[in-house]
Amino acid sequence: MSNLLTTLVAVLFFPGLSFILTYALWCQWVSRKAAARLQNRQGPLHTGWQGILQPLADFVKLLVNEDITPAAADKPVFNYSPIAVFAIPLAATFLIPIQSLTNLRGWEPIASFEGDLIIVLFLMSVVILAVFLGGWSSGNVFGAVGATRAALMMLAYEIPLSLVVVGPAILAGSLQISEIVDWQVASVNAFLRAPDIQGLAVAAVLFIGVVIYLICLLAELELRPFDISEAETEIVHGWQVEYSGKKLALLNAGHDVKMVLAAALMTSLFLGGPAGPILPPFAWFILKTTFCVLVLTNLSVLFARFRIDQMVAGAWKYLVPLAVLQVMAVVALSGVI
Amino acid sequence: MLRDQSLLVGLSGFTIIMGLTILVGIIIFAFGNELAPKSPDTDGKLAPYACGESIPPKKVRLNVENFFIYAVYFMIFDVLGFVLATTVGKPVNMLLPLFYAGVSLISIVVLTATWRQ
Repeated sequence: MSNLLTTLVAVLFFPGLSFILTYALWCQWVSRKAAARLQNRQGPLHTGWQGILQPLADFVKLLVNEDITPAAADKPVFNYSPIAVFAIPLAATFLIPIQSLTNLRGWEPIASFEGDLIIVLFLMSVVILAVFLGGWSSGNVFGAVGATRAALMMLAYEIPLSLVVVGPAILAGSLQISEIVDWQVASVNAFLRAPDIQGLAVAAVLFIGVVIYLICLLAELELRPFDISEAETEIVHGWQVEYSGKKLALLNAGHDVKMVLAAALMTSLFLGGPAGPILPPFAWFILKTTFCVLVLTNLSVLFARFRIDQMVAGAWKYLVPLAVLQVMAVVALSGVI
Repeated sequence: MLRDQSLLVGLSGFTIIMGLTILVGIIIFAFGNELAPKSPDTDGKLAPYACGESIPPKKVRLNVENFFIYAVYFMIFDVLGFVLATTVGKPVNMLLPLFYAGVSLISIVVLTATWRQ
């Protein structure tokens, strides 16, 4: 009975649904505030302390706005793809280890199985399919152009992304995210006890992986250098152009949840997951993922938008070979041959 | 090891979560339906947004040829990623994926060097 209660609390409240959604709003606030300060603006100020409730206010405002479905749109696909854009990354975040409810120093994902890393990657690319369908079915020229750009971008960044993610999996000898976290904790502890050249080499190779992963995440999240599919200045808002009201609210919330998922996956695969001294795991999770969000925001403020051909060519000419080399170096270092 | 057993084990647990998140999406959607004001739909409002220009609503044709080239590349490397991922920790099999990785690496270098748009 108490086990059932624990499961319910974990799924619905902490570290499940409520926590992830609240945390997504927090990430949006951090991202907007940091971008504003980097651009010498103030960012949100009026709703709550330093405008911390602004993302929630925006969500509620969009929810009660009038919702228009254009006459030319393919109605079922157009109406229901925002639900997929929102629900899929939210479900994938349940596979990331955050905090155990029964053990203050422990962590485990709410759902977990062998190979969940592959499922997370698969779900991340299925979101793009929903994006493509949503933009394509809107019956708008800008929407269709944005949708094809999103699909083309996915073909470019998905490969380096999935290749670098395989790196830590090979080193850990498992495709389960929580076991990769365990491997990182164990190997960092072993390195701190007896530093050796092997550990430094692994860290250097994985650092290349982090860099490639960050670049791919910028494309995945459609942040500045790769916001080609929504480029306001050329195709108005790309695939989102016809969305309004509750559907736009769902799309925005989905984007925030995707940012949490991306930052959480980066934390779990490269930054040691929710592990750390003194503080409980969820505090470390928040610190590390907020750090990832800040890095992503900083990069997106720093760069100007690439053209679609520059982005695709860059990904295939530089990122893919680098990612393959990284995997080969990881295989050589892990000594499984 | 610090980690406990997961609360929901296996794909079935994840299916429940997937259903739950879709339900949450539908609930938000229904809330929006209830809360949003209904106002009369005019022709102008239902027309596609086109920055003031009159662009008729039609499906855009994309260049399928270039799209397919990228799709084929995508396939090759997706298979590579999957092969590498599923041979993890099996020492006997590791040489073959590595060979496949090497062949794809060389081919992508040669192809991108010779490919003229």
